[in-house]
Amino acid sequence: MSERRDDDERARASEQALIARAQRGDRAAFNRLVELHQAGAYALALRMLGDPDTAADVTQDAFFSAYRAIASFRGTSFRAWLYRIVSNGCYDTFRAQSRRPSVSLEATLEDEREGEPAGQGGQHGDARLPAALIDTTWDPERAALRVEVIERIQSALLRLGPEQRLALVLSDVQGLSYDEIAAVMGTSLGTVKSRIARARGHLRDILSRQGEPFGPARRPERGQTSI
Amino acid sequence: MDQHAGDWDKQRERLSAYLDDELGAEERAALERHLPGCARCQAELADLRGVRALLRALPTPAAPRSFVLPDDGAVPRPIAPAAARRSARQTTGALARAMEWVGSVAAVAGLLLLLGTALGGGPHGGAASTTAGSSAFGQRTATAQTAQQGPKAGTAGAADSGDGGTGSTQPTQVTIPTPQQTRPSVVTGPGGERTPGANPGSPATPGAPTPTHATMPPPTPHVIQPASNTPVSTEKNAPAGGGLPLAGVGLVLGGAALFAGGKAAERRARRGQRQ
Repeated sequence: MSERRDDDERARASEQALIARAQRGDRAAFNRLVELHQAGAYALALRMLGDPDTAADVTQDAFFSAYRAIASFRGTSFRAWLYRIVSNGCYDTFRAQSRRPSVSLEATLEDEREGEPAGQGGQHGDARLPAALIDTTWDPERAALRVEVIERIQSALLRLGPEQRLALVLSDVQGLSYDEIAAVMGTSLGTVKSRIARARGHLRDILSRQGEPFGPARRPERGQTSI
Repeated sequence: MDQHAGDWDKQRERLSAYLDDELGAEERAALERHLPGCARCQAELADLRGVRALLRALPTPAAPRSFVLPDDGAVPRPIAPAAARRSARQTTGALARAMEWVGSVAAVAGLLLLLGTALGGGPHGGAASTTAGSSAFGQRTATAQTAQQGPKAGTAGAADSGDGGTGSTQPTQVTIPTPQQTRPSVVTGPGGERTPGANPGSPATPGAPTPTHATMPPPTPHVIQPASNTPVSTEKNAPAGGGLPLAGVGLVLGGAALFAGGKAAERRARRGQRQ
């Protein structure tokens, strides 16, 4: 355990060194930072946007912006700073996506709406994740989520308002602490707490409403999934 | 039995933060005491944990390519459509701050103007009540006065009533002699605003106006004066002084608008910058 902490310390120290070199114009050092963070940055963009191509564009742009701005980076968390740039890129994309107003409008409305929708899961909104969903999520051979479950989760995520989605993805997909999420989103700890809680409840409601059993199981490809 | 008739959203927030070990020590202890006896909270906690587990189980997507920058050569500006907007926002950061500064100065100046005219500098403030307390002719002028002031009439009236006590100190600072002398006799004390007609009879009401009274000539002679002087002074001062309150309102509104615009621009600029 303490060994891992030592590793974290070393990793952070070396990252600070990379940042310092990048700030002095060392492009190779910056590229090393890209290598360290690109998987996370892309995952964030993908979960936020739902589309791999757009996510790739936003991620690339984010690294361009980061390189141009690296000289004025202060603070301790490069990741939080980078994810802020990525999420801003996602927000810009949402605004530009006027072709799909129904999705974003609905998501925005649900973001602002209080708690569970009326009539769902009983008087107190005690909707439960259906057992069918839990039972069929796992592909026993690969101990991984089935493809259709991944798609359903991604669709459900897209139905959250952008801020709830961002808070939830940063927390549960990326594993950031509330403090770091507050830094990324530029909000208070209380807002982070509230957004995550609402997002989880909301996602639970969306998934519960889709209680139908899954179709024939599709297994993810060998290697990592692309979705 | 529902123990959470009140704020279920708040309770869910606690449960969610509890899941992430982000509850303060006291709240955590309270929740841990509460949980064993509350089926609803247990169920909600289980659901929240389930959602989190699903999200954690999402596989890390494979990036379609490497995002490493080319070894040399210019780094392109971001391709995204809003890139140009974003850099423009950054340059408006300074402009935004300037807008805020000018806006707040203007708003403060406007407020001071309004205060000054409403409390004392405004012949309207005193004139309205004075004319109200005088003859019919005076009342007609007061109406014209009020109409000219628009929403400010309420303020003027209020200045005579509640604030009349404090406001009456102001007249001493105003350089318009006649209304200055007559006004306190009507504005005097809280009794003034409710029964303006009775004012001439009770101008010496105690309270805040006391200090002013010391500097004021005896009220009795002034009782006579309003009837004759007020219409003249009202009409004389109305056009000249009418611009000040309006300017004040304009400054406040314009200043507030500028400030709000600056804030909005700054917020947009900040979103384009680092944390």
